Order: sequence, then C-alpha cells, then structure tokens
Amino acid sequence: MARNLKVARNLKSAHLGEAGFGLGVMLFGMLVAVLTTNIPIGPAYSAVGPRVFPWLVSGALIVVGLMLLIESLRSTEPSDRPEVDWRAIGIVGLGLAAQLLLMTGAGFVVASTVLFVAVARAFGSRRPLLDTVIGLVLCAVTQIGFTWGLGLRLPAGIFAGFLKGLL
Amino acid sequence: MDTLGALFQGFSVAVTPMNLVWAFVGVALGTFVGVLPGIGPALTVALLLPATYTLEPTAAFIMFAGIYYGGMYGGSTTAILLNTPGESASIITAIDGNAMARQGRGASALATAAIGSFIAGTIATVALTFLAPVMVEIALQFGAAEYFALMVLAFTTVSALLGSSIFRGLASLFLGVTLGLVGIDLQTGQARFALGVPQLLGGIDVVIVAVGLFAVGETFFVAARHRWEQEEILPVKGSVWMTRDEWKRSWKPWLRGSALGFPFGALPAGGAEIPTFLSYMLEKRLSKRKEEFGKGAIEGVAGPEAANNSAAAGVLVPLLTLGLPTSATAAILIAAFQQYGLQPGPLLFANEPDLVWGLIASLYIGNLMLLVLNLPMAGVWVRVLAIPRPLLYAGILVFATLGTYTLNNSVVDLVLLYVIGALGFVMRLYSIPVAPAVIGLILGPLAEQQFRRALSISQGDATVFFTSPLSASLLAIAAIIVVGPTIWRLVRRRKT
Repeated sequence: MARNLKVARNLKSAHLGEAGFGLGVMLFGMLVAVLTTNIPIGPAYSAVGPRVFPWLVSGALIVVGLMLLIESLRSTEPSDRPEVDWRAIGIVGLGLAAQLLLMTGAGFVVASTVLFVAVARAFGSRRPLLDTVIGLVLCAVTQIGFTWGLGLRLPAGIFAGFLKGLL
Repeated sequence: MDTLGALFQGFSVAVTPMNLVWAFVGVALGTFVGVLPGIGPALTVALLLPATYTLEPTAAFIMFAGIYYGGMYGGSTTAILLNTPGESASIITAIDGNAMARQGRGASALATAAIGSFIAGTIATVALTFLAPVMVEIALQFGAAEYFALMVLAFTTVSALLGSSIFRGLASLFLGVTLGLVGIDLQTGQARFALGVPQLLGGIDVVIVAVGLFAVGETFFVAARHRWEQEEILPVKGSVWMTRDEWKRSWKPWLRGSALGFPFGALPAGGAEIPTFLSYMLEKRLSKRKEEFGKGAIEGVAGPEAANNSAAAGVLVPLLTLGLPTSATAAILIAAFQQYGLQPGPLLFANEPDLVWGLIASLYIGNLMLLVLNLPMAGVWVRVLAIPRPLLYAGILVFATLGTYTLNNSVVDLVLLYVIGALGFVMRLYSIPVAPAVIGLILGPLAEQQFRRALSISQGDATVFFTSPLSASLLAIAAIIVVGPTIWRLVRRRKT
C-alpha cells in the first residue's frame, strides 16, 4: 500500500516536471516575443525586416510548448524520468563555477585541475590527491601542447613565468 | 565537368604526403575520441574543431573527413564492448554486438562491424561521387522559395525522426533556432537578442552549443545516474578476425545494409537511425536462425553497422550539394566550412573544386586507413574503454571547457557553455532529443536568409511559397508530417 502510494507520487511529480518543461518552452516563446518588439528597425531598407522571422519563431515556441503541456497532462503512461543524484550535480556545478572564477587569475592549469578533481569526486572517486596529480599533469601537458603545437594562447596565471622560461 | 576527372583531380590533392598525414591524424583522433564512452560522432567533431583552426582549409577538411568516419568506427566499438551506444544510430548494433561480446565473440563482432563499415563506406562514397554532381545540377535550378521549403521539410523530418514525439523534437529544434537568431542581423545590421552583451553580437558559436548539450549536459546526466547504473567492459585481446562461417553470414547483410543506408542519408530527411532499424528487421526476416537475434546473431551487427556508415556518407550529399545539414554532425561540419568563409552548396563545387573533390577523395583513403587501423589495433581501443569513469568524465569536461574557451579567449563563452549544458541536462532528463537544437542553430539562419530573399524577390508577397509547385509540395509534405499523426489519431478515435 505504502509502496503504491509512493509510486503514484513519483508518477505525478515526474509528469509535473514534463508539464513544467512545456510551460517553460511557452514562457520562453513569450520572452522571445517581448524581446522581438525591442529589436530596432534600422534605416536600411529591406522588404522583410529583422523582426519577422523572430516573430515566427516565438509563435512556434509558444505553440510547441502548449502541445508539450497538453501531451504531458493527457499522458497516462508512467514517466520515464530517471532518478537524480542532486549531490553529484551540485559538485560538478561547483567545479565549473570554480573554474570560471579561477581561469583569468590563477590560470588554465589551476582552474581546470580544480574542475577535474571536482568532477572525479562527483563520479565517486575517493582519491582526491591522486586525482589532483593526474589533473595537474593532464592540464599542464595540454597547455604546453596547445601553446607549442597549435599556437593557441591559454591564460598562464601563476605559471606565467615558468611557461615563458620553458618556451 | 567529367566526374571521374574531377575525382582524379581530388585524389591528386589528397594523396600529397602532408594531406595523407592529416587524413591519418583525423582517423586516429576520430577513432580515439569516438571510442570514449559518452562521446558520439557529433561531439567528437565539435571537440576537435578548435584543433584545426590553424590549418589551411583543404588540409582541415581532409582531417575532418577522417574524424567523421573515425568517430563512427569508434562509436561501434563502444556499443559492442560496453553496450553504451554513443549515438542513436549505434543502438541497434549494441543489441547483438554486446550479446556476442558476452559469449566471448567480441572479436568477431568488431571485425564484422569494421569490415562492414569499410565496405558500406566505400560503396556509399562511390554513390556520393556520382550522385553529387547530379544533385548540384538540380540544386542550381532552385530559387530562394524552394530552398526555404526544403529547409522547412528538413526541420520537420529531423524533429519527427529524432524525438519520441514530434513536439519534443520541435521544442529542441526551435530552442536551437532561437539561439541562432542571437547577434547582428546581417541584412540590416540590427542587434537581436544580444541583451546588451557585446560578446553576443557575433552570434553563438555552434561549438559552444554542441559541446554544451553533448558534453556538459551528458556529464551532468551521467553524474546524476552513476550510482544506479553499473557497466561492464567485455574483454577482447590482440587483433580481430572472423571465421569462414562468419564471413559467409556477413557479406550479404553488408551489401543490403549499404543499399538501405545510403538513400536514407541522402534524402534531405536523413538520419541513420531508421535504416539501421530497417536493416535489423530485414536481416531477422531473411535469416534462417531467427532465434539467434537478440542473443548474438552476427547478421544483426553486420547489417545495421553497414547501414549506419552508408547513411553517414549519404548525409554528405545534401550537406555538400545543398548546404543542408540533416544530422548534428553534419551541422557542425557546416559550421567548420563557415569558419573558413565557405558555404557548402552548388557554388562550392564550381568555386572550390580542389577542396570538395579532395575531401571526397580523402573519404576513400580515410575508409581504407580505418580498416587497417582497426583490425589489428582493436586491443588498444579496448584499453581506452578501461579508463576509470571519474577520470574519463573529468577529462571530458576539461577538454569541453578548453575547446570553448579557446574560441574567443572569453569567459562569457564559458558562462554560455554552462547555461546551455544545464539546458541539455534538463532536456536529457525529460527525453527531449538535443540533436535537433544543433541542427536548428545552423539551419535557422540559413532558412531565414532564404525566406527573406524569397520575399524580397516577390516584393513582400507571401504567396510565393505556394505558387511554385516544388515549394508548395515540399511545404505540404512538411505540414503532413507535423499534423498528420494527430489527425490520424482523431479519425481513428471517431471510428471506434
């Protein structure tokens, strides 16, 4: 009995998620419509202005979102939305945020090693020290390879002096 | 121009030592990245796109041809040994391929996939060689209205084929089209949807969208699921080969798969999923050992793998002759052309014959290289599969962010990547296909251009799309695809 109740609740919340996605697409279409009215129509002559196609796209988004909403509300089949480990998602998200903040200051190697260790942790790695070493080597080799081989510049950050000496 | 002469000219471009090296680098990199679980051909091409920025166009496209075919080869290895197909076209391969690997016949499954891919790839490339010039002739007759109608048809078929319901596909498609609208409108110079961010004025790069949806979104999704899902790598040692009996059972499915795959890829309604599925059904029907299907029938690997590769070559026909991408990978290839200021289409054949025919010639070469590379080296690729998951996905994200950052050396692109990655995760969660978004991003601006061109020629008269018989019938087919199933359901319900 309790199990049945739980299944029913899962089912309902999953379909709520799908309905939410449809609603989100609809709202996004409305946002596009609002932003379309802000597109300036310039002095340059053209038979079809810069707003026409965005209007069509916003209309399409609203209709498609509505259809998704109707589909999800009328669906009787159980939703196939999988269970989510939100903690793992959070760790990956933190890793990405850290990389963003560290990129220009501390440089590519530091920023990406932090990301590397965070993602490995989210995937269940229990050896942060080993991950750090692997990440450092991978990122350092990548940076040197990109600068040398492809002539692409990555922010050197705290290793700027070292890299300059090396190349 | 004589097709064989043009192809010969192409080989003379592709067979220079430097270009052979690029072709080899392409197939090796493509196979390596393609073997990595969770990375399909589209992401392979997107991740390796920045690596070609410093090359001149011909060398870059020869390398891309290698990456494209190599990614397909690598993907089938993952499907067979790990049962995690990197793209929807390998799902069918995974059924019997993985069953064979479980019985210790992984080497035979890899061999029939590799040889079948080579045969199908070669047959389809020959078909591409002779069909492309014909298509160019036809494409030259198209006006703006016909082009627009063709693109609308491609929009609807792509959405209908890739999603579990057409509206899921269309939602993804129009999200992509919206992203494609961002930036300066090329015809009037007005900024659209840039939200006052100067970095957005140049538009959103396809690499960011593809990497965001396929790599970041996928990593989020697998991270969210890894505690519940276990995977097992099945061993294969040394080189791979087949027994006499397996050859006998494989060659017909290879040929039938090739014949099925190419037309599906070449229709501007492509995609490799349907032909792989049809090939599997066909082989099952023709087989005398129906009971083996699903439990390790070699025909169930040989046919669909051939169909998959044949369709992949077919997709290049609308891509090169019409500039029409019908798969996510093809959309990223178009972006690669645009990077060099080239627009695929009939004019490309006239203006850049060396580049186009060099590319086609290198498809033959790349295919041969892949066969040589894959049969003896299967054991090496298996070792790639054994990279621990935490390190693998950590590495994927580092390279995903690296590829994005090097586009403009801008942190704004990284923010954009994360936002699109989060969107990709939500879409994966609710089974919204992400490939139509990538296609919409590339095809949207092209469609708008033809739409506006058609309307300026007709001086604003919108009936132009319906007065041309070809344009009208293409639009009618598109309309049937969208509303047909709903009406069919309503009619049937009334009867019962």
